[in-house]
Amino acid sequence: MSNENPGHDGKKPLFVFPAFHNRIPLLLAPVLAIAPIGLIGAIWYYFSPNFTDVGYQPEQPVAYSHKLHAGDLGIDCRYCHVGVEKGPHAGVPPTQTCMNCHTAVKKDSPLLTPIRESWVSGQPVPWVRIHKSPDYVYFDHSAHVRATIGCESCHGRIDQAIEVKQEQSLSMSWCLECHKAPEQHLRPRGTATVMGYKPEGGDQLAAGTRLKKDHNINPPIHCSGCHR
Amino acid sequence: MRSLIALVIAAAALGGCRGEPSRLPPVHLNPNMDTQAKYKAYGHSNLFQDGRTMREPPANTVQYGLGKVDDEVYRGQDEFGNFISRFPMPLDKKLLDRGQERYDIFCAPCHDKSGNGKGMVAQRPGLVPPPTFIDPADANGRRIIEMPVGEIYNTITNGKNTMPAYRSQIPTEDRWAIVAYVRALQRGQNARLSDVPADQQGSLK
Repeated sequence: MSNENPGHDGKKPLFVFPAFHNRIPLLLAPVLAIAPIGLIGAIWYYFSPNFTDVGYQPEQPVAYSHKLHAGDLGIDCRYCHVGVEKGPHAGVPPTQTCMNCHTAVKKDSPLLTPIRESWVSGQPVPWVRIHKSPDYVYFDHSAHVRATIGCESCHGRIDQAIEVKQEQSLSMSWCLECHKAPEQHLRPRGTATVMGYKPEGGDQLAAGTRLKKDHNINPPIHCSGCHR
Repeated sequence: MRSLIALVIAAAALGGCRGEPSRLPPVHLNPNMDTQAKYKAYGHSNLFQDGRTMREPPANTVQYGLGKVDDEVYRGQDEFGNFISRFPMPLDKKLLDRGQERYDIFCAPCHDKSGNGKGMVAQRPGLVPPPTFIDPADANGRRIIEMPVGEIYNTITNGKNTMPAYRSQIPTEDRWAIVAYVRALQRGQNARLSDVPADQQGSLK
């Protein structure tokens, strides 16, 4: 420091703000103006279940392929998920269902070791849950299958999934999107488990609107429909 | 300005895009009450030794009102232990339709939709394919065509040879519906023109 700015005692140099500090507010103004927009944008994008939940694909204890079983072999969803027409839970099949075939097919495969161990010990295979609606939500699979919403509408093309992941957000707005306009997804009775379904005539809205009227389908959109 | 754009791109790269597959369980940034301290189906329990929330009924107990006392319906047998050859319930279209649907779900993987025993699963190596139950020229086919319905019901319930028991997957009334549909397949595959009602024979000629 030079002696141009001596302190009060004439010894210590006095601190002087450099001239560029004058420009700081001017530079900061646009950043501060944009920051809230960026923050809101980030929350909108990253806090949404579309980001946090969709795509969840946990590693399962057994590399079970829905593509092989439901797709290539054409086994109906309900062979294993026997609860889907009767109650809230589609149901994870017990080890016994696996062993219906795997006592004979691939019975020595190392990939199936956890299944055989479970069969011997009686302890369930620790499958990892993928889809979970919040605990304050009432959801019943059977109501949706009875109204005939395809499995595919929520779970995607399971018959092509080597590994299952969460397809849809299960957010409230996502539920309401269909509850307000079920004709987007309604199918004729008995076709819920069909994969790659094409509506008759190719016009889903027309077919769905007819089915909604014929079967008198009025999904609840009031609070207590799902929050009971 | 350039650094600001770089910052946004860096943040986006770090956060990733919506819908990307992820092994990590979902993190709810606002937890609300999404996950509550209560037992739900298939949940883990710290209370019970086997770690299961869902309990099995104690051994040798019968659920109230669900005693399976009717031998004809639940075991396909008469009072002397012989398999019954008449259905213990009225047969109608509704039962047959239900039987067809259930047959296609549970039986068709091995027995094929036609009953010829050449289903997709039966063709996998290791599995002994089931015999046809529709072909009277085949020894097994003939045997099953002549088999009393109670015995077919018993096979579905308890399994036979390499076929597993299906009593836990298929409820009793659905098993009978399947038996009815098996009979329909057997008749349908070996039908003569005279089996068709006279007024509809013309459309088949």
